[in-house]
Amino acid sequence: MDRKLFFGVCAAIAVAALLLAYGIEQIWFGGSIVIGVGLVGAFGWFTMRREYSDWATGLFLVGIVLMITFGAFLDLNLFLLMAAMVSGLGAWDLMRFDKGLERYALSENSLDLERRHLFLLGGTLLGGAVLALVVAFVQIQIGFFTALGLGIILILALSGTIRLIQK
Amino acid sequence: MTRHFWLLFGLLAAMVSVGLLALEGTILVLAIPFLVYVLVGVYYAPGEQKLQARRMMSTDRITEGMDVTVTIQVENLNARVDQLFLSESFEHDLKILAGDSYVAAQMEQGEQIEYAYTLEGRRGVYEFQGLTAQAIDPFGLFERKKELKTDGELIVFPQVTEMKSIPIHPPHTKGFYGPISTRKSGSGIDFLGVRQYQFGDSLRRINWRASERHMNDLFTNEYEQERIADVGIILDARPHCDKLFQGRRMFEYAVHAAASLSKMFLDDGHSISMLIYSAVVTQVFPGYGKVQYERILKTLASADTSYNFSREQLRIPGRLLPPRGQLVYISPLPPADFETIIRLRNLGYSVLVLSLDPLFFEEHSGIDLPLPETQLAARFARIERKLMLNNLRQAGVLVENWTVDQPFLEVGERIRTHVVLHQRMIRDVV
Repeated sequence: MDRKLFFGVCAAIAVAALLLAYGIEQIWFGGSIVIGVGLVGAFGWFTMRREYSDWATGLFLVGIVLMITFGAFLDLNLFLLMAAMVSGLGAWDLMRFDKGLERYALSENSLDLERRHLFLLGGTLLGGAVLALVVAFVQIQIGFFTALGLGIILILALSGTIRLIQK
Repeated sequence: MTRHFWLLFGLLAAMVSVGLLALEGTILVLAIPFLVYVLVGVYYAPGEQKLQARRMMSTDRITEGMDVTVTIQVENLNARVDQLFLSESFEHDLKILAGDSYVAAQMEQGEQIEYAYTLEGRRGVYEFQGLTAQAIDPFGLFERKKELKTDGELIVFPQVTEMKSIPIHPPHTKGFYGPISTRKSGSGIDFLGVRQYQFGDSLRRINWRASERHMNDLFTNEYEQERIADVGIILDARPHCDKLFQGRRMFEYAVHAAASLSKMFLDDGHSISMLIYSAVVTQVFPGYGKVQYERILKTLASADTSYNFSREQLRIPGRLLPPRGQLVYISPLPPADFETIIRLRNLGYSVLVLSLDPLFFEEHSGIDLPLPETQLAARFARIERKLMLNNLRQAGVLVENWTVDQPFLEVGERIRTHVVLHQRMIRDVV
């Protein structure tokens, strides 16, 4: 029940933050798409633990990310976009976690599995948001190729880590 | 890596690419929570698992209707596992009554968890394959699966009805003491008659009352030899035994009858052998006592119907049957078997046929017979079967027709009565 409630709260925050961001700039077309994304999230909430709920929340996350990206192009409020991003990611994770546990009973000594997950998720999202905001206010001027190089290094580092894990 | 990872990775890569191509720093900034989320997942990604599992069962042999408690112990010999999902699937004939066979846990190094569930199942032999252990990171991005071997076997025996002894009298008995009166003089306890004393007779057997009536002669009591018999139980397991009554196959009733009769005969001390007549003939060699009972139950537990065109008619090689012993044939008795049973009777076997009425199964199959033609056909089938059973009876075969809505105990009593009457009739004729 807790997971369902948290998922609902997170999804609602994400949609509300995005709606507010688009509403402030009076971009009603974008707002209506956000409402559509919200409806997909609501569908995922109502059909929680069913086969297609997984797809609904995946679609919800993709929709949120797309609208945030458009919002970034339209110079919408960064704090609101960040809140939407963190909440959307949180909602998606809670849904995935719930789906994963669906068929399983918790063993006696693992009753805090859920609590631990919530704390870790909260910490990660908060840490990510804080880090992002710190980065947003530290302005460094770099050229395209430097940025591209940094991006490639980042992607290579990530894929290298994954290969390391696979071994 | 899971599909959740690929979704996040795709979104992250798309955001970074778009941000870089459009030189839009805000998008890169907004991708940071995603990146942190993935990196935390990478940090907690599960390593090589060293898990040890053990299965304990309250018993590995149960009777249908009973349950068994299975306890699983899993020990983590390697580093901490954040989320461990243990699962085990069973054959559909096994049902969980209590507890769970799907368990999620988090395990520290050296930690041991234990969980239990209660199972019940239909007749059969079940092999437990093992557990599937799936370790994932807290965000479900990376997973490692491993099969944990926990061997185990559960045998669900058929139900057995305790029934009264049936006094069989096959033409040939074995040389050991048992419950069958042979009408021959020997070391029994039932009085047979009196004869003149012969040198070597025990003084304790002298009938003093008869002797005092004759001045110069002594008389000795004779007692009847009591022996055991060879009993061969033949269980028909051909596809015509697959008819259903109240969701239960006719074959299940036949197995129940075979198990109950085996127990009764073994309790009487007889030697029992069993043949399961399906596509392959399965045989339990003759034997006595509890070990034989276990052997028979184990064979019955795994028995099932199967088809082979060469077995459409009952053909049993003589070497598989006890010589001139008691045969018990449990079958719906298709007309093709008639000749074989008569032939066995002619070979000197004492034959008892327990026939599960196939027409009863047809009538209760839920198919309506609205047409007068089909109703007439049903009547003809009934008459034909009655005629066949009567012909068998006239040939000296003991036939019991069992409509399975009657409890087997009642059927056992009826067989007992018929056997006694049959013996009395033979004695009267002799």
